[in-house]
Amino acid sequence: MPTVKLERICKRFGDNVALDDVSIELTPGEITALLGENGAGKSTLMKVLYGYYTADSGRVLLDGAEVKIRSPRDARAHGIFMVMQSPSLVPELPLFENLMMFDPRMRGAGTLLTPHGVRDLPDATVALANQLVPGVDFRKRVFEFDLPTIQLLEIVKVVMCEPRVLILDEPSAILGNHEMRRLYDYLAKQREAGVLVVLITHKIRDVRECADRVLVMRKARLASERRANSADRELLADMMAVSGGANSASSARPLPSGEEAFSARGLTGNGWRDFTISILRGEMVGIAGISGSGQTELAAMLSGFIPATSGEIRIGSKRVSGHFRNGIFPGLGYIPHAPRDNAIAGALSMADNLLVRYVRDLPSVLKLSNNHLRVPQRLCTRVTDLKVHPPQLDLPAGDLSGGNLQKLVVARELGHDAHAVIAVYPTMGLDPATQELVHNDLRAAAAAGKGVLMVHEDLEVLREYCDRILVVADRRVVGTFDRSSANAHDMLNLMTGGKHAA
Amino acid sequence: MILDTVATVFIVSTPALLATLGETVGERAGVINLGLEGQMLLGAVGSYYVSFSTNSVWLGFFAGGLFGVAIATIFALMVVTAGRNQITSGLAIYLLGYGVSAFYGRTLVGQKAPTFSDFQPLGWGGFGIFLSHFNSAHVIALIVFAIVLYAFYRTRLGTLVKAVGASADSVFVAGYSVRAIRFGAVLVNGFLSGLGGAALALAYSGSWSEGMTHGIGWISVALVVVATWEPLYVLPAVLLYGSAQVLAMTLQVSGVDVSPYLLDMIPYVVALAVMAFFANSKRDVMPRELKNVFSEVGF
Amino acid sequence: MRHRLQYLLREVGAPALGVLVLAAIFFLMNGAHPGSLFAQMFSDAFGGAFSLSQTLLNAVTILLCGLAVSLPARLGLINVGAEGEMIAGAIAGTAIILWMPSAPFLLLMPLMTLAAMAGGAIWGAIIGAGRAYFNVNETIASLMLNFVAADFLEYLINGPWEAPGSGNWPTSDPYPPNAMPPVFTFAKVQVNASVVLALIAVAGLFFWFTYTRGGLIARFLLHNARLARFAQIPAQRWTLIVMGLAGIFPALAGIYQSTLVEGRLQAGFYEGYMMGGFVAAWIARNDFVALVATSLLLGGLFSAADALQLDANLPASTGIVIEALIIVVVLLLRTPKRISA
Repeated sequence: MPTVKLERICKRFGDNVALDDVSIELTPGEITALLGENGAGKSTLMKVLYGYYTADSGRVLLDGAEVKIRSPRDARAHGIFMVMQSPSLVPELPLFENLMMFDPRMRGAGTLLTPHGVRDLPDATVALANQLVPGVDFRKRVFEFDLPTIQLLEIVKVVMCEPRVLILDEPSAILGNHEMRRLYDYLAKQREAGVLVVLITHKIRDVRECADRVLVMRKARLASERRANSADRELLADMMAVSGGANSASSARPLPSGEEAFSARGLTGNGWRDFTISILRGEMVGIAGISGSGQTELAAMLSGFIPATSGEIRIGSKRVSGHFRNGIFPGLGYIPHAPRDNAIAGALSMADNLLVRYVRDLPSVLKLSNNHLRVPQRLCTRVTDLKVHPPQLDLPAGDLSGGNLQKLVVARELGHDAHAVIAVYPTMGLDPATQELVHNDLRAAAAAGKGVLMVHEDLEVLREYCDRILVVADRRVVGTFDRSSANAHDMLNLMTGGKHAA
Repeated sequence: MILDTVATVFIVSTPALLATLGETVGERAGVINLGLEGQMLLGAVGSYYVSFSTNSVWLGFFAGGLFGVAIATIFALMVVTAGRNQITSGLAIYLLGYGVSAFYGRTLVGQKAPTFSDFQPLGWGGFGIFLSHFNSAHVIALIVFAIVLYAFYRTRLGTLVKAVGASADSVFVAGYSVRAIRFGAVLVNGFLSGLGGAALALAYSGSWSEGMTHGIGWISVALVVVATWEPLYVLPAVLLYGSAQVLAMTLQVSGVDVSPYLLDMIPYVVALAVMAFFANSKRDVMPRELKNVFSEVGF
Repeated sequence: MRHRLQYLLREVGAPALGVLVLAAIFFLMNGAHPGSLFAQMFSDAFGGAFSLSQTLLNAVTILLCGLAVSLPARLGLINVGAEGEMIAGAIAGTAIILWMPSAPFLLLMPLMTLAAMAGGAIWGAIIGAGRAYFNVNETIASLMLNFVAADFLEYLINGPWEAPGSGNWPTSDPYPPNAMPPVFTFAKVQVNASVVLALIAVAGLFFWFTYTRGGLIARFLLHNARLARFAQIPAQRWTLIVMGLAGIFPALAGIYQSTLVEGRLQAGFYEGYMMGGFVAAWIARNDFVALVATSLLLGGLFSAADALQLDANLPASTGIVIEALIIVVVLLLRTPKRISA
């Protein structure tokens, strides 16, 4: 059984540093929990080991010998297997056909035409599947199973290849308590058999239940290495980014006026039911939750980016929920997550991208190649203030780095006459200086009388900037804190499904 | 009488059966080939040429399949290896197949090559007469159909083809080569459509003329949709087309006042209806990877 | 300047050379001398008033079919329905002509033109509505509708519109002289009215996509349809309108081709033009001005192919082979349009 060593691994995506000189060592017969917040780099690190990504520098050693892993195929040849977070079972195919593709006995062209059916599955696989999903029907197509079951079946698919190194990417993001219990039992058995298990997670509970060792990652680096019986608080402190800078000037914050800037009543759709919120002018409301708790969908519905099934939304004093078909509600700024995909057309110039919000104000006849001259002055000022680099508006927006692209979107969405702004992970992947710039900009928008709603991964940021924080879990609001009562421990407890007496 | 009609329907449908089957396999792997008509034409001219020059109808028939493979290789190199746009490449293959077959087929026009002859009537009464409408090409077509169905639904190869058209990433993660599978599927499509062209030339019309497929290749693209991308349903879909053809012929002969041309529309209209129905149902039948082909920016 | 030259060499020069080399090999394989054949083809296409008239006639139809590809492509839609739209236009225009064959030119001409445009627009809008409101893939749908239109045309000329005694190749009644579109002659080169209409269309589309707000909206829809939601653009309505508009151009080609070339409504009058239009649009990368040039080139190829038969005893299918070689070479040699992610 191998000892796996990752040495000085670096990986960048564009100019976004995903892994910054990370070295870890893993031992067989142990379950290692890889703990960290979203974007901390834990999945990327394991995908490097699995050959899904190639590291920019650094090396991988198995039992002390360096190996080159260029693709999942290479990794599998070394007995390294990973269950990805995004399901890789083909939903359209029956379960047994999916498992067939991974049958270790079926390799090489010679087996391509061997008949296969449900009865040809290896006995061990059938037994394993029944252990994790009792009474599973192999003829059912994968999309007919529910999500937690699919996640367990993903594990079956991988484990049938008898891995020596088994990596699980956030199974707890999808699995319920019941299914997790079965998984913990199963992993304990694997440990006994000498398998090296890595469990990627951001839930402390997973660590409690089955890990022997905890590696905590934060901001593309290894933050700490601890035994699993370390105190929760220590782990939390390692895991959550503690943003630099004191609570500058936030005490002198004006009180929100009584006037409502944005409200939603009984909003239903995309897994949410009956969501209600009211944001006053000058107020900044934060949403905290583990990723995948439904906050991105909620924000998209609140903004009109994706339609809701029912409910009423008001912006300023106007009811706007009748406009679902046309897009983002008038009078609203929206900063979606993953702006490169959701808010920008990379092939078009920065000017065109800025003008998206002003199309209706443009004259109907104009010279489109001169669009960079047409961007409203206050937008230009904002672009300059935010130090978007390069500043030439006629360059393609797609050439901008992640941080500058984000700043461009912030400039656009805060720069027009809006009653309210909704921002989703507005600073993910940005450097600290830019983060502060963006946060202050959002705060300034509130100070100028807008209502601001911010989904954020960093509890410290939420506590510093927001007047009120909603904690969500599993597409429900599970707690509300105001500035004075918000503390990271209670919020995390709620986010991860603990009870909170509030 | 009824048996005779059934036989005619099947005979009319055979070229489309092979071509539709091939295109279905290709599209299930995530590659749409609009050059089907061209592949059939090249298969037809190739088979007729080989049959004529070797004096062997069997050599000719299989040569038709190989001619299909040859032109499909060009297509595969363009779309699978070089990653070029499938729609444009497909149209290029259509023009290439049409042009080359017409160009080199000139000398074959009016020539008589050995063709498949119908079976001798056996002494089994009406059933014997029924059998005597067919020839070896029809039997081969049915056998090929059965083999493809078996491979598609009952072997690992079929699973890989289906999986690569549904989610190439899953197949990549499983450690397979997406390109190799797609390349293979495109060649299978070439072989089957070439064979379809050969069946047309050697078992149906018994001659070569420019553009002799008269849109069977295009209709086969429609029939893939009618069959909801399932090889098993290719047979009923193709028989629907054959029936409309035979009905049109019969009505014309019996002097009923329904235009055969309106009946010719049936397969296309059904294909449109099938697309509209499934596009809005919960379970879309179009292979997922195929959808990406149509959303490429700046094709 | 240097860059522009390099660009032209890479994007135009290399493919052109590639086509010439492949075509030369093809000619050599068939015992023809490439050099003299190329010269012959060039003179058949562009040498002299008669050749030019013929080329222009082909080119304008290709251009109009090309616009039906390029316009939707500027919004990310792939339309291969130009053939159906040509037929729809010809049928609608012919309906007017057959309805009032003795109407004066000044009444008949605008009416039949407008009817043809409406026919094509409706045909295109059917495809657009399917895409926008029923999520039906516009490429496959437009392809199928070509055959529906062709069958309907056959039905008409074999049924209700069949001219008495038209025999084995049924057609409609011949069009009256008043239905003949005006043909102007410049230096012995014949230019028909559809050339004027096509150039107006090109100018209009160029203006639209270079100088209007609508062009900006189209850019958003092409490059990231999600941006449409930021701009509050009703993307579905745009799809419908653009597909409808795109149908107008082949429809014009359809009625003018029928009247000027065939003189009656008959089967197969549309053959080859849709493919020509697609190739022209595609080589021009959906640039409307470049499309004029590529249409002329292909129009010339069509004329030369017709003439090859007489000159070099090579069949007309030679032209199709060369057309295919052009696409293959251009596809492989030209850098694919890359959209920065």
